[in-house]
Parts: sequence; C-alpha cells; structure tokens
Amino acid sequence: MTHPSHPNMPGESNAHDHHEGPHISSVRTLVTVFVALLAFTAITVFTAKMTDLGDFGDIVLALGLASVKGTLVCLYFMHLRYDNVFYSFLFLSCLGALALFLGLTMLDINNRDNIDPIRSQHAVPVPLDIAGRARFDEAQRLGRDLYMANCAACHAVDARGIPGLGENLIGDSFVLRSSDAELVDFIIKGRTANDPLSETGVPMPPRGGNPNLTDEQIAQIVVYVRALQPKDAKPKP
Amino acid sequence: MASIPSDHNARPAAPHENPVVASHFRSKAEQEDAGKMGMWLFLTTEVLLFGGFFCAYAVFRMLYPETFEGASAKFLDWRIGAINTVVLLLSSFTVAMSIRNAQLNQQWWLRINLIITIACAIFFLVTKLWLEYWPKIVEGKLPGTFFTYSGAMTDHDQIFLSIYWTATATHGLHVLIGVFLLTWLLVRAWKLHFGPKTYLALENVGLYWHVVDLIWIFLFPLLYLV
Amino acid sequence: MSAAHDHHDHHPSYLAPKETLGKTIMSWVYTIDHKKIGVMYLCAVLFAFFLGGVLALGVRTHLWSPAETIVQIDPSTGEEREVQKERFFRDVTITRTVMRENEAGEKVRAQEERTFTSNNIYNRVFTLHGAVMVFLFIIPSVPAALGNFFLPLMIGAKDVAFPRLNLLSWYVYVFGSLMTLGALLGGGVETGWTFYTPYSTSTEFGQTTLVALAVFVLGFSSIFTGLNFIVTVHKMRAPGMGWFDMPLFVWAIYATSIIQVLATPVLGITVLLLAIERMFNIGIFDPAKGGDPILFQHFFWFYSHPAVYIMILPGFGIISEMITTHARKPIFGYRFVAFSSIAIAAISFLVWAHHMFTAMGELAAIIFSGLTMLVAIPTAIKVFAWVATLYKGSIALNTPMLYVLSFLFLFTIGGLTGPPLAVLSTDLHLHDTYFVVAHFHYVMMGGTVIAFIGGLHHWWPKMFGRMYNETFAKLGCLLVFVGFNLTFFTQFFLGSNGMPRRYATYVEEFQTLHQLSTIGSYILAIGLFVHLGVFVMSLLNGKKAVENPWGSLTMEWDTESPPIEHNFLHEPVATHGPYDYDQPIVPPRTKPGEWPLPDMPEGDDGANTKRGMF
Repeated sequence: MTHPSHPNMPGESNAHDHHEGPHISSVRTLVTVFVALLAFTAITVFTAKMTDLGDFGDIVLALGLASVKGTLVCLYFMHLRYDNVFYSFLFLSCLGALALFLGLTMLDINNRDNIDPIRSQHAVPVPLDIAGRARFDEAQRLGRDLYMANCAACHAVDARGIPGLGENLIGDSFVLRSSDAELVDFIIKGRTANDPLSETGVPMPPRGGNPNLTDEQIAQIVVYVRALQPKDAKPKP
Repeated sequence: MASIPSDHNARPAAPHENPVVASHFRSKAEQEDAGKMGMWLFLTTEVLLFGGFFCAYAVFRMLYPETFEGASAKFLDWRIGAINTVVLLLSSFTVAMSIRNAQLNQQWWLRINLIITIACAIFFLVTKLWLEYWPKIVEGKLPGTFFTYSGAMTDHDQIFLSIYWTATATHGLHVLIGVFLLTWLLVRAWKLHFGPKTYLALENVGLYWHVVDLIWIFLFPLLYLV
Repeated sequence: MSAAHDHHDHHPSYLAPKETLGKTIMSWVYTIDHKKIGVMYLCAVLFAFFLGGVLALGVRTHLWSPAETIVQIDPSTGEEREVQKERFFRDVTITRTVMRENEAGEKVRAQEERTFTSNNIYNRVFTLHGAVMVFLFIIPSVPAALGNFFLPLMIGAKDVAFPRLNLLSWYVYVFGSLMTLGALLGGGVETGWTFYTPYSTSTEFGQTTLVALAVFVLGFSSIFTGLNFIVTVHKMRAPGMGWFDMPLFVWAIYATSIIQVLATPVLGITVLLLAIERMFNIGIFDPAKGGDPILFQHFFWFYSHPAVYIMILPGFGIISEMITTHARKPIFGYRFVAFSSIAIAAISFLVWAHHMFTAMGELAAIIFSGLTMLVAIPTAIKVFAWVATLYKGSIALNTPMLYVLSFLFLFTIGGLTGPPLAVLSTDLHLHDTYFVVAHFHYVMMGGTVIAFIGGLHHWWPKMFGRMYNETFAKLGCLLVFVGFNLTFFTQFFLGSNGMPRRYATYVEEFQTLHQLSTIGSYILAIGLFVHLGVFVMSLLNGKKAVENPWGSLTMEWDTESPPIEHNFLHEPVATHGPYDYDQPIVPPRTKPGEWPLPDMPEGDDGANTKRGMF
C-alpha cells in the first residue's frame, strides 16, 4: 500500500485523495511553502528595519505578512487545505473569538475618555482656586459622579468609610488638615498598606485605582468631599 | 537498533502494521478522526491562551505607542529573533516532511527529519536562554519586582518587558514541551510504530508544533521589529 | 427477554462490586468508564454544593441583624466605651511568625498579631461561597456529572471519545478543589470571586494567589470535559442518528462544550497573569506602573460571562428532556430549541462587558448594552417552546415535572429581571445592588440548580437502579421552591431600594427584608436536606427500578437500570427520534448480534479493556 507522491499541482492531488485515502503532501509543495515562509520573513525584517512607513504602517505590514505566513503554515504544513473542512471552521471560529476579544476590549479602552457631546461641555477643567459659585457647584456635581463611580466602593456612598476598607473622609483629621492640593497629590500617589502613616492597614490605590482619572477630575472629587464636611469642622491640632 | 523494514517477507509484522482500535470506537477511521479533532480543539485553546498576551500587547501598544515603538530596538536584538524564526520554520518544515515519510513508509527519513526537528527546537531554546534571557537577567531588564535596569527609559518600558517576558516564557515552555513530545515520537519511530496506516500521533504532535511556530510567527514581528 | 437475561448475568451493571473490597475501590480509582466518572463527579460536586451552601447560610445568618455600636461599661475601671455588638462572625486574632528587619538591619523572626474583624470574615465567607459555587459546583455540575453519565448513553456510544482524559479531568478537578479548600483553611480570600484588581493584586493577607492558581487548574478540567464531549458528539453517534435526531440535552451539552473550549483558555491566562502580578508585580494591571486594572475586568469577563452560559445551557437541556418525557409530547420546535442553544453559545462571546458598565467608556457601554439584549431572543425561544410543549400534554405531576414547572417560573423571573440590568439607564441605579444578587441567583439557582435537582430525580432510577419516595421528594421540592423564593425575591426589593451587594451590614430599614431572606435560606436548606435523605433512603432500600420507568423515548432508557459496563447489550440504532411521543408505535432500537462486546477474560471487569491512549 504505497501512495505515489504527487509532484504536480496540489489541487490535482486534492482531487485524487478522495479515492486513495489520506492526502500526502508532495516534496515540492512543502519545499515551496518553506522557501516562501523564509522569503516572507526576510521581507518582514527588511521592511521593518529599512523602510519607514510610520508606526501604524509598520504594524499593518508586519502583521499582514505574518498573517500570510500563518495562512501558509495552516493550509500546507497543518494540512487544512486537504483535511476535514470542520477543522478549518474550528480554527476560524477560534480566531473569530480572539478578534472579538481584542476588538471589543480595544474599542472600550480607546473610547473610554470620550463622553457624549452634551455632557462634554461640562467637563471643563476646574481650577483649584474656585472663581465663582456656579463653577464650584458644577465641580461639586461632577465630583459627586466621579466619587460615586470611583471612591464609594471603599469609602461608602456617604463618605463615612467602611471598616476594614476605606477611611472615613468626613471629619477625618488628615482630610481636614491637608490642603486641597495636598489631597489631590495624595490621591494621585495613593498609599500602600504597610505605610507607617496608614491608619486602616488597607492600601489606597493610586488614583483610587482608576488610572484614567485626570488630575482635574481628582480635584473635582476633592471639591465634592469638602462639600460633605460639616461647616464648622476645624482641623484638629 | 531496529532493522530497516525494506524486506517485508522475513520478519514479524512491525507495530505500525497492526494498528490497535480501542474497544469503544466502531472503526479505526472513527478513532483517528476523533483523535485529530480532539487535537484541533486543543489547539484552539492554545491559540486563545496566547490571545491573552496579544490582547495585552495591543492594549498597551495603543496606550503607550511611543514606548512600544522604541522598546524593541532598545531591549531586543532582531537578529537573534530572526535566526530563531528561521530555525522554527525549518523545524515546522521537517515535521511536515516526517508525516510524508511515515505515509510512504520511509523509516530512515522519518527518523532523520524528527532528529532535525528536535535539534532545531533545542537550538531555539539555547539561543533564547543563552543569548537573550541571560544578558537581560544580568542587566536587570526583568519584569516587576526584579526590574533593576537603570538605562535611559520611558515610564512604561516595564510594561513592554513584562509582556515580553510572560509571552516568550510561555512560548518557550511550549517549545520545551514540544521537545519532550518529539523525543517521544522519535523513540516510537525507532520502534517502528509509524507507517502508512498509523501516523496519528505524529500528525497530532506535528499540529501542536506548527501552532507553536504559528504563535512565534506573530510574536517575532510584534516584539522584535515594529 | 430471556436471552437478554442470560446476557445480563454475564454483563453485570457498572455498579456491581468486585470480588474484594480492595478491587472494588481500585475499579473506581482507575476507572475509565464514563458512568463511574460521572458518579464520582456527582459526589464531588454535591460535596462542593454542600460546602458552598453552608458558607451561604453563614452569610445569611450574619446578616440577620445589622452592625450595632453599643455602650458598655468596663467592669474594672467603670469607664464607658463603645463596642460593636457581637454578630454571627466574631473578631478573630491570630498570631503568625514573620521575618522582620530590626534596627540593625538584620532579619529576625517576629510575632505578628493580626485581627480579622467580623467584617473581614464575612468578606472571606461570601468570597468563598461565590468561588466554590461557581468553580467547584455549577460549572462542572450538569456537564461533568450528568453529562458524563448520559451523553454517551443518549447517543448510543460505549464511552466518550477519550476515556483517560475524562478520568484525568476528574483528578484535575479534585486537585483544584483541594487547592481551593487549602486556601479556605489557610486564611481565605476576600476579593470576591471575581478577583477584581487592584484590590486582588494588593491585598496582602490571604490566599488570593493560591485560589487564582486553583482556578487555573480547574480550567483544565473544564476544557478536557468540553473537548471530550465535542469529539464524542461528532464522531460517536449511533448509526442512523443524524444531528437532528439527537436529544436536546446533547445539543445543550454540545453548545456548552463549545464555550468551555473557546472561553476557558482566556480565564487561564487571566488568573495566571493575576498570580504572576501578585508574585512579581509585573504591572500589567497596576495603575502605578502604567497598567490598567480595568483590563483585568475585560479579561476576566471574557471568560466569566460565557461561563454563565456554561452553567445554564445544560440546565436548558435537562428541561427539554424532562418536559417531553413527563408531558408525553414531542418538543415544540425541535430545531429552534436546538439552534437556540448554539445561538446562545455564539452570543455569549459578545456581551461580557455588561458586567462593567460603570467602569467603561460610554461608547463601549452603549454597544454592549445593545448586544446584551440579543441574548433574550434565543432564551425566550426556548421558554416559549417549553410552554408550548406543555400545551395539551399528558402531564404527570411527579417530582421531575414539578421541578420543570419550578424552573419555568423561576427562570422566567430570572430572565425578565435581566433586561433592566442590560439597559444602561436602569443599570446605573441597580448596579452592584441586591437586585443583581437576586437576578443571578434566580438564573443560576432557580435555573441551573433546579434543573440539576430535577434531572437527578429524572435520571436517578437509571443511574442507580432504584426508585425514590415520591411523597418526600415532592415535599422537598415544595420546600425548595418556597424557601428559594423567600430568600431571593425579597432581595429584589432590597436591591431596588438601594441595598448594595457584598456589604456586611445595612441600615435598619432593611432588617425585615433581610430577616425574611435569612428565614427563606433555612427553609431552602431544609428542603435540600430532605432531598438528600430521599436519595440516601433510595440507595439503601429503594424499590428496584425497571428499565424505563417513565416510558421515555431517548436512548439511555433502552438499557438496563443501572446500565451494564458497556452501556448496551446490542448496538443501538436510531430507528426513531428522541421525542416521537405522537407515534402510536416506535420500532425497537436494537440490532441484535451486531455489537461485539470485547472478549473479556475471566475476572476482568471490562474497565481494563483497551480504550486507546487517551
């Protein structure tokens, strides 16, 4: 039971194997594919190193060539071209799942800062020295939203803290003693659990754990937290 | 050393001439189809596992393009990467050839091709450890806690290195597993387990090896070139 | 019949003990028989269910009253001081030895005291409740226990495609479970079962790394099972059984397996990165190093949302089987029900980010909100098809059917409370409240667990060859139904009134509802123990079950109860569909003499017959 090898076109041998059992790749096909893979590797290296298509162009070209190489490996080395079409389907659906994963994740991260045009009018950076009452209210309102989204999980919705999680922010001497700028600075840096100054033993993540908070937004949160504090509160000495 | 099965008359049947069909399958064809489909399903999980690294790469490349543009030239030598790419492609080629050898009952070529494949895989690992990982370890170009490199750097070089280390180490682990699997194949080939009727194990390990190659085909340009 | 009886003597049931106790134990430890592996899985998941249930009762008991500060007078000094009133979980102080640097910079051993407040303990208990229930119980429950047992029987195969891989998956599962239990004993985890960063990467005390690795290991078990089932369904169906002659349970398991294979690897890489992050601080999820903690949520939910369908789809399959058998009607819209399983599997990959509406950018949130709505379509198709199947059926109100009716009621509530959570505007109000808790318990417990218990009653006679006490089983069903609704319906009110989930305490206004919920959870527990008792009594002295006590037409009922080692005496042939209840007579499925059982040497139990490499 010896199979003749098919030194001719792969398409012909494909037609052949329905009658004669499994397909046997010819040496010529395999060598051709191997040489093509080497050539594409050379082109990839050459274009990436010697030409300048800009960052985006380089990536597209490199990934395009890698995809061509991958397709060649799949079709000929992995035999997908001659094998059960279900395997191709399987492989493609796995790539489809991967594309969804990559695409939708990047869609989110790429657009995370874009908010809708009506609300974006309000998202003006609020300076720390508040000029007028209206802008103060606006900052406080924005700060409230930001606080609820980023801080309330640990410091509680009423900012009175949660034992074992977040410090009470109302009437806390550290909060009262610090200036707005110091508080903003503190939130940006965070504090580790084993920091000697830590009262709770729980880490405060930098930017409250949300790297997308801008400094202005943190300032708005501070404005909001300040507004929660009782009017007659005095920093303890 | 086993003799080469050139004369079919004067010897008992080699193992590959009497394929075993497990009792719960209806036929040999059903058994082999099942084995291969199982392998393909496993390969999809491998691709998706590495998908996590590709996703992390894509996201951080989008967030910190300036870091990633310079990082490959700063931390990695594309020549080592290119040599390893060629070596892996060659090993993929020889694995594909070895299946053809089994189908045509060319037992010596089968062994030679497997030996070349294993040699390539070991070459890949040695290059990786000796020329890439070791100098980086010495210079402290390591992820996370071990990052002690003090050369000129942007803020997020560390992220690039983290992805580089986790992705290539996971890939290297797969190459290492591949070496064991290929050695197992070589032992079986020496015992004449593979022939025109029985080469499923060869084919399945071959598929695994091609996927390892496939992942490198994408890792190479992303990490070393662009 | 007499010929079959002769065979019966030669081919004992898979449960038949061997000559010695040692051999019997070994025949289970080394078994590659899918039925034994299914039973072993059943024992393991029921233990996990028990453990998770006990933890849940702990959570509910702790929530009987809110935290209260009371004034106490110190008897020795007479001073007044404020203390926390003691609740169910008490503060615990433990000491451990740590390495510290002293003033001279030397490393010395030091005793460190650490107090776990009652709130800390509460956090650990609800985290482990979630992790145990999700990873150790629900995900393997139906596919790995009932699926393993019945999928090959239903398609007329002797075993799954890779019996050894199947056994390995059980051992891997047990290993992963032991890691989780080890974490439970070694300090616990307090991150919630979702391991959200940055908390999970920065919390220092506890076993987060170990649990993350345990989840990684459990993922392998899940992948092995899924892979095995897909190949089995593709390659090993009985002669004459086309894709549309398969029972719908097989379709459901098939769709589940697709998700298991395509989604679980991403969970693997997620928890692996989390563990690496905790060990080496690689910074991918750490904002201080430029990483993105929300990226973790994308990684995590890309698996864990499809995992929700891994949990519920097999439950759908069980319902389709039970409803046709016990209403004696063909399923309404077979192809729609079959394809809706596949559709759910496909859509499950499009909706993961609805868990993170409050963490995402607006554009992505809007897109995911829309995509999430799509799931309602195939799900509703199924529910309508089941209700239509009941219409003019000859309904037997036995325990399995009562569970079907419970399922339809509870799952519909669970399903219909989904859209308010998928719509952005309402979700912003309901996000992370008890409304969400109630919603997913109605789906997970009211859906999957109810279907699982119902399925156990449906297939119990086949699995163990014994009938059970109907009266007590019905009583158990009633208690479960009442207890479940009391526990979780109250939580819809709590949630829409603003009670946040995961909190260890609450404002006093919520106390009545919380107490009702706690009472409900005890009734639920009693109901489940009634079922346990019914099953134990059935095993001890249940009436012997006949081959096909319900007159069902699917293939698993065409063999002995319990089945013989090789499943069928004669090769089954699909001569009629699984739901041909409208046919006056169905042709027999056997083709005598054409199913060569392997030659078994004297004393060989058949389990050692060669089953290939995997």
